[in-house]
Amino acid sequence: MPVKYNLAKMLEEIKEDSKIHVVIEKKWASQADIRKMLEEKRKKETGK
Amino acid sequence: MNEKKKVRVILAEDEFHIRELMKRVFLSMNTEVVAEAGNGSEAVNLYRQHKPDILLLDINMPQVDGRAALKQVMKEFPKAFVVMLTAVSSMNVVQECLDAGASCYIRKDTSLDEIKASIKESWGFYQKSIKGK
Repeated sequence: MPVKYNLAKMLEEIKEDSKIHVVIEKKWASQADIRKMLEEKRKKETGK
Repeated sequence: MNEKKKVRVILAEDEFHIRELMKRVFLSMNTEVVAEAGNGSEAVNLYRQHKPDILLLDINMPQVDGRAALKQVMKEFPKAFVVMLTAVSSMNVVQECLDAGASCYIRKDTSLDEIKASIKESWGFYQKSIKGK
C-alpha cells in the first residue's frame, strides 16, 4: 500500500511542535496559473 | 487560424526536434513558418527582416536568451505578437515575460491540443485588441 503524506498536515504539526514559522510560497506556475495571469493581464489591458 | 491570408510565423528554439514539432503544429493551424532561429539574436534579426505575425520564443537559448529577445522585439515593434514556449515555469519569469509584452506563455509540458488552444485564444484576443485601437 502506498503511504500518502498530507504535506499541509505535516507542516501544521511542525509549526505547532517547534514554533517554527512555516511559509509556503508558490514559486512555480502551472499552466492553469499562467492562464489566470494572462487573464489578469488582459483585464488590465482592456480595463474590464 | 481562419484568416484569408496565411498568418506568418517565426520559430525561435534551439532544440531542433522541438522546432520541427512546433513547425508541424503551426502548419496544422494553417499558418506559414517563414523562418527559424536557433538563438535569441537570430530571432531578433529574423523578426526585423520578415516582420511576421507571430514570433514563438523559447527562453533558454544560447547567446541571447528568449527574455532578452522578447524585450528587444517589443522595444522595436510594440505591437508584436509573441508566444513564449518554454520549460521555465518560475512565477517571476512568467510575470516578467507578460509584463514585457508576451501575449501568451506556454509550458513545454503542455499537451499539443492545449498549446494550439492557447495560441488560438491569445491570437483571437490580440486581433480584437488591435482592431479596437
